[in-house]
This record gives sequence, C-alpha cells and structure tokens, in this order.
Amino acid sequence: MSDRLIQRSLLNAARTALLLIAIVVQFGLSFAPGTQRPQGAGWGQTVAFGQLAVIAIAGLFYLRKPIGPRLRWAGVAWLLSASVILTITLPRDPVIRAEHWSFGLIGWYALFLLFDQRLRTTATFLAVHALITIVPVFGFTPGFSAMAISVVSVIGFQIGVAMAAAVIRRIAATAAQAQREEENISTREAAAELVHRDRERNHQDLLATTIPVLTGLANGTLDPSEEDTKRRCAIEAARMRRLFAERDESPDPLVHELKAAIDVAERHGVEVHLATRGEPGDLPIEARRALLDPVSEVLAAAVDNARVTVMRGPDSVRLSVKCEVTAVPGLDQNPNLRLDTMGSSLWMEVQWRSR
Amino acid sequence: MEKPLTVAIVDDHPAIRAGLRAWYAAADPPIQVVAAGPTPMVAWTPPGDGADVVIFDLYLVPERPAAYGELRRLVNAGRKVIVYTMREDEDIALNCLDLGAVTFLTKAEGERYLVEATVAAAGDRPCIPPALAGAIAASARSTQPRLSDRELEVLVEWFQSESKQLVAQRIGITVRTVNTYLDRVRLKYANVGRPASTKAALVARAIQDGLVAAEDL
Repeated sequence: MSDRLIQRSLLNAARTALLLIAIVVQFGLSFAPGTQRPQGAGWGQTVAFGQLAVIAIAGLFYLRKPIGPRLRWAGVAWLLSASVILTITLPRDPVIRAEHWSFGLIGWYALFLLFDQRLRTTATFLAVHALITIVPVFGFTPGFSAMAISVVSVIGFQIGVAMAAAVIRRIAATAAQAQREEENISTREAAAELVHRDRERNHQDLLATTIPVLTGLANGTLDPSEEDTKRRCAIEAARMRRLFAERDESPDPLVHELKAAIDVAERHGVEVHLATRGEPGDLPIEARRALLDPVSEVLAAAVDNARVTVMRGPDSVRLSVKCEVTAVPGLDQNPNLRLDTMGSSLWMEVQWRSR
Repeated sequence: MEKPLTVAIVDDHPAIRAGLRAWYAAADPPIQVVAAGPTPMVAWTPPGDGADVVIFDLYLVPERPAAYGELRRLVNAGRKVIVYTMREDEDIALNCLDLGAVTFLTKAEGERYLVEATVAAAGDRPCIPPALAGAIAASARSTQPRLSDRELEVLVEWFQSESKQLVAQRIGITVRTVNTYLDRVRLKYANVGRPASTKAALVARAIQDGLVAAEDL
C-alpha cells in the first residue's frame, strides 16, 4: 500500500465520521419525536436549516476528494452566516432551547470543513460562533451564565474532537513517513542486489576469457611476442575497460563504453575516427554488450586507422567499424552482424533492433 | 586550354588555409586558390569575389553561434558555397543544405573529399560526402523529403564505410548505381527548404545530365 493511500484512507474515515455526526444531528435528532419544534418558527430557522443542508449535500459529494481552499473558506463563511441569521431571528432570551438546535450542528459541520486545517483555525471558528450566539444576550442575569455554561461545554467538546482529529492527522503522516522509509530501504536493497549480480556476471565473463590469457602469460604457454597473443590481450583489455565503463554514470552509455574500446585501440597506435548520428536512446546492457563486443574485436585487429560509426534510429542501433587489417578476426556468426572485406579493408557492421 | 577552377577560402585558422592550398595545388588538374582569409570579406572583395567556389568555415569565432547569416548572404548573391567545419552535428549539416550551401564537409573528411566536392560544386553537380550522408539518414525532420529504403540504406552504408566500392559490394549493385542513389537524394534536398539559385542550378544540371527527368521533380 502506498504511503498516500494509507494517509488518505485514515483521514477519510475520520472526516466521514464528522460529517455523519452532523447529518445525523441535523436530519435525525432535530426532527426526532419529542423535539420541540420552534414556536412560530421564524424565517431564520428555515433559511439556516437550508443552508446547513447545502453543506451536508456538498460534504457528501466531497467525502473522497480534498476540498479546495476557496471552497472551504466559502463554506466557513456560509456557516458563519447561518449562525448570524439564527441568532438575530431568535428571541433575545438567555436560554438554550429548541430553537438552538443548530448551535452544536454548525460546530460539527465546521469540524468537517476544517478537518485538515490547524487546530488554531478550528478553535477560532468555534470561538467566533460561540460569541455570535452569546453576545446578544450578554448581561442578562441570571440566565446568561447558565447559557454560557452550555455553550462552553458544547464548544469545549468540539475542540476536544478537533484535537483528536489533529492527532489522527499526525498519526497518518507518521505512518506514511514510515512506509516511505521502508520503501526506500527495499529499493536500496533491490539496487544493491542488482549491482551485486552484475558484478558476479562481470566476474564470470572475465573468468571465461581474461583469466585464461593471464594464466597463459604467467605460466609461459602464451608468448607475448606472438601476434595472436597481442590481439587476445587487446581484446581482453578492451573488455575490461568496457566493464569498468559500465559502472560510470553517463548520459550516453553506449558511446561512453565504445570510447573505452576505442581508447584501447588508440593506445596500440591505431588512429580511430568516431562519428555518431541520431539521438541516444535507452539501450539495455545486453544490447550494448552485443554491439560492443564485435567492435572491440575488430578494433583489436585494426592496423593504421579505423572509422567507427554509430547510427541510431527510432528502433535500431547500428555500429560499424571500417579499418585496415592484416588478418580477418574470427567473429561469432550472427544474423545481426555483417562482414565485408576488400583487399586489406575490413568493414563490419553489427545491428540491434528493439523489435 | 580551359580556365582553371578558382576558390576563395574563408577560415580563421592559418594552418587550415595552408592545408587547403596544398590539397588544391596537388589536385589534377590543379585548382587555384585566389583568396584566403579569416573573414567572409575575402569572398566579397577582389580577387575572391570572382572565385567559382567559396569554402566557408561555419564557426569563424570559437564559442560563437554558427555564421548562418553570412552563409545566407553568400548564397543569396549566387555563390556556390561548400560549408567546411569541425562540427559533426546533423542539424547543422541539414540547416546548411536548407540555406542553399552546395554541400557540407567535415574537416575530418576534408582530405579525401574536398577536391571532389569543389569540382562537383563548380559544375553544379551533386555531392554527398559521408558525414552529410549520415546526417541525412539520421534526420528525423518532418520537412525532409521522403527517401526510399534503398536510398536510406545507401546513405547509411556510405556514411559507415566511406567506400562506394564496399557499399556496391554489400548491396550487390555497381558503384555507378551507388552514385545515382546519392545524387537523387541530393536532388530531393534541393527541392525543399528556401529556394536558392544554387539549388535551381543543381536541378537544371541533373536534368541536362539525364540523372532525373523533369517530370520526376
């Protein structure tokens, strides 16, 4: 499960719960039998009920998506206006009564709207809402203090819920962070595993061809003055250079590794001219090896000078070497490889196709 | 006896100018370098203004953009310009053709193809050196002419091998046919991009030579 997903499902559950509380209060409890209907219910009651219903419906619509800042603040202003309308249309009596059904409700909707905001923001909203409700009856004793107690209790409870929401948000963030770290670690492990396998394969490659040459030179079965020995050494040197070059970060690995092979040839006194055409593309390491191995072998046989070209098309790469040779190297037969000779000139082309 | 071919060389490097003079002097028949200098002025003022062909280094000042403006002015004046540059970039090569340069040659291949390209340019005959062939084959421009598979294959192999004999051997055609393919490609390019008198002359000459029929174009 991705970190985003964890975070979202946890937060969605909490937001859904808040909206459900508000909806149950508005459409369930406010209409419950025994609830005293407001006497001669003023227009303010109807308007505020409608306003809150709009928030409920919009909230259901946004249950699974984030609410944009503009929409959120419009919703908050809408709630405050409902609070104001109710307060000014109610009789100025310092008593909490049936007409105050909406007092706690507005707070619940606010918790839903401001769920992912800072605690301070939610608390400020609730305080403003409480003030709007209390201020008109300020100074009425003795009922005022009773009403203030009710208001403070409701608001206090809602602030407590808001704090719990903040904790849930923090837990979700921590869980996501932990998940990310875990994924990073497993990615690094997978990368290390790949590198390790790569090294082992390189080692196998060297074992098969380089070690016999080194052994032969060490125990004297290969004569360093023989042309064939020199050629084999040059091929192995180019192969090792190419393996080293595979380690390097390069925007164009094919040409980078090719240059390693060319460098070996140039050290043996061959003047190499490299020409490349077309854009570098993503080429798997096997494809690069299949292209570069025969090029290294031909370059090892080259005398005097050589022309190396790279031609890249949208779905193919063609490498070619044209050079003068004294003996034609024995290359593995391969349908992607073409070899032509004319006098002492040798022209080899090897091709790779993506399909 | 025919009047010898004349060239003006615009290149900022004295060693390059000296090298080109030597190659032209050794050509058979010899080609006369009538003016050589580091700025395009040598091609505009006597004696360089009368030269048959202008050899033009696209990068006169290192680290400065290519001198396309100078190239365009020379082409507009009806001069036959061979662009001669260090750069291998395929876009640069195709831009030069578009602007009406008769051909494009990299300095790495100068020794082998410069004289041949100069003679071709003076006679309004097509010439595609290997570096240019590679650029055309690799180009993915939407404005480029449609080339047949065989034409593309000849371009790529000519770029790779620098030997028309090897190309002919590999495909199983004659060297003459290899040349015909290359010439046709050059003519297709003469028909795109901005019009230039050099391009018109190339096409007219090709029709005279029977290389293409007027209705093919």
